[in-house]
Amino acid sequence: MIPIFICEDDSIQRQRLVTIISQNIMIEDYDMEIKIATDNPNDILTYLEENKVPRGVYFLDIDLGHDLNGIQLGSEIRKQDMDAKIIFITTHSELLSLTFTYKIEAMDYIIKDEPDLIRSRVHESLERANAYHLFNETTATDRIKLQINNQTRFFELEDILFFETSDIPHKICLHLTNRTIEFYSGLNDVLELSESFIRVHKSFVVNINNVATIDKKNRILTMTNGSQCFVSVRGLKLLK
Amino acid sequence: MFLYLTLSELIKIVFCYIVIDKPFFKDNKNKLFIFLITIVCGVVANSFTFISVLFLFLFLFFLNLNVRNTNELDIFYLMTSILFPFIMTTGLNLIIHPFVKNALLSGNITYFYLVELINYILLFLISSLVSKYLLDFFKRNHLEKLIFTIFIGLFFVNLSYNIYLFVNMNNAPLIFGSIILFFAILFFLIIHSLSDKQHLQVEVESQKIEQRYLRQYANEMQEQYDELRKFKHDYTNILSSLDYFISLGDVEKLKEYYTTSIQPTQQIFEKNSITFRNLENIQAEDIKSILAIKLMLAKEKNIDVKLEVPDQIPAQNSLSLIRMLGIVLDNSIEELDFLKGGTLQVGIFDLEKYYLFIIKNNHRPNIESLYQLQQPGYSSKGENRGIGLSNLMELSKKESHIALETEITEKFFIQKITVLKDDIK
Repeated sequence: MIPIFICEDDSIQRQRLVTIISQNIMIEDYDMEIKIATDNPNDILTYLEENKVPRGVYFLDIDLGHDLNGIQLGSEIRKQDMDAKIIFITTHSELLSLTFTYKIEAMDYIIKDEPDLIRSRVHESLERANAYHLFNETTATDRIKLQINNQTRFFELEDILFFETSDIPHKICLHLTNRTIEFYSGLNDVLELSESFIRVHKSFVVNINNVATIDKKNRILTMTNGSQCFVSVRGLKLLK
Repeated sequence: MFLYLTLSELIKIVFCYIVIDKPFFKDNKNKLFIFLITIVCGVVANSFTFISVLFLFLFLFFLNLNVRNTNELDIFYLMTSILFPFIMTTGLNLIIHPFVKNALLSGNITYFYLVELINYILLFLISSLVSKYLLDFFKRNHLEKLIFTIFIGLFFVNLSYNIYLFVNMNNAPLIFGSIILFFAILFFLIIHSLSDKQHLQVEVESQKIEQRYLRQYANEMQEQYDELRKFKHDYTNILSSLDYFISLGDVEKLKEYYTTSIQPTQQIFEKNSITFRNLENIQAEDIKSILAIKLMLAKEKNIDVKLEVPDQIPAQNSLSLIRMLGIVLDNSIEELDFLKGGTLQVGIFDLEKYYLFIIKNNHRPNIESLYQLQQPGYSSKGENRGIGLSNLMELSKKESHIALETEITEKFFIQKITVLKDDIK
């Protein structure tokens, strides 16, 4: 049973939202239930304190006419319910897409300036929340879990090219095809995360599946995206 | 008498200096200082006059550094005007010397006083003339460096001559020790004043930037106020029209009026930028400044800017961070300018264990791969343009509390700069 929470200070809009969501649940036959529909953010927070809620779905307005705004409410909810699916309801001018994505890790946002679209957006959101709920276990694809600056993130093994050290001890850089990420860890720690990871040099750990060519004479590896890594004599032996 | 003779050179120098630099002595405190120096030097002078002359020079120099304000901190001019009394006095002494010798030998006190009096009068005349005409002349024609070189040359010639005259095996350590000390202190004073000048220049620059920011902020506030006023006006009109249609009971007309009049007002809110208001949450002055400058630059190029700062951001005290932000913003602005469309999105968040700076912008289709863009010296805009991504990464690599994440998606270029809070290491 997925609990749904709504926080919206305008009673007409709130009622409309409740109606749309209820209808959607009924039509799609989701295992969901509206637990709270309120204009007071504290109602939701109190409920969370008293009940352990795994993976709730939250529809939050931004301007709640309260000392707590929607963003702050989202932040507090995230602390209590780590896997919360948060959907912000916002006007165009209040839209803070970076804040939604990176600070609150909201699942989505709905723009209320366009009333016709609200129904379809709610439908999409509930569909996604339902999908997450069903795929509880990770599917069998190879995923690597990394602690990036206090955040747990997952990457597909095939996207990882190599890890490289920097001038600062314990600071390494992860190179993916379209991303480079600096974070704090030891090279040896990442080595253990997959059998495909080989330490070819004191400064490099590569994903052997993504090595394109090996230049033995100059001791340089070229990866599938063109980037190059040094390889030591010992590393060459490991690669055989 | 003997005391006078030993002190006479010092007194003459000070006298000369006072004549040249009258404004300097408007302040009583200085008179006292000068008097004190003369006494101190006199005590030292019992041994070697020329050594105490050196320290007198230092003292005058030092006083000028501290008392004067920053406008007149031209070292060459300063040194030259201080050196002049020394040169004058020594020069005049050379000329008058035979007469003084005569006077002393003759035992005639009156004669001696007369000669000394003439000495002072000459010093006075020449110094007044110099201060009135010559010094300005030098300044205007930028001859200070040349004159300074000449004076320093003469100063050293005199010093060497004195050393030659007075140094013997016994007093060599003392004499040379004092001379070395003199140069050490002189060197220190010069470097000190140079560094002061530098600090002031930096401060002036940053104040200029702050002022620009404030002006733009004030303009922005004014614009917003105007827009709000216009809206209030429209709103009242709309309400009364709605009232009219309702009283008529004509639902169709009401619907039509509603759609035609609500649309425009929504647009007003969309266009209304709240960019500069968001800078308020940034307490760090340096971050606020760099953002203000870059965002203003973007707006000047008609780039759409969205700034999100929902949390308070305190000072980070990291020059590298400011430089990195500058580079990233410059790159984003260039790309968006080239694209002639798209949005520059900037967000700064407090995520408990660290602060996150996000800069996101659209990029042109078919942009090079991330790997290519990160090559040293590479720029997507051709030769010698922009500060490459590799420079940015070099900066970040050296910092132990900053982590950089760069991502290219199909439509966007996203830079995330993480600044760890101090308690995590």
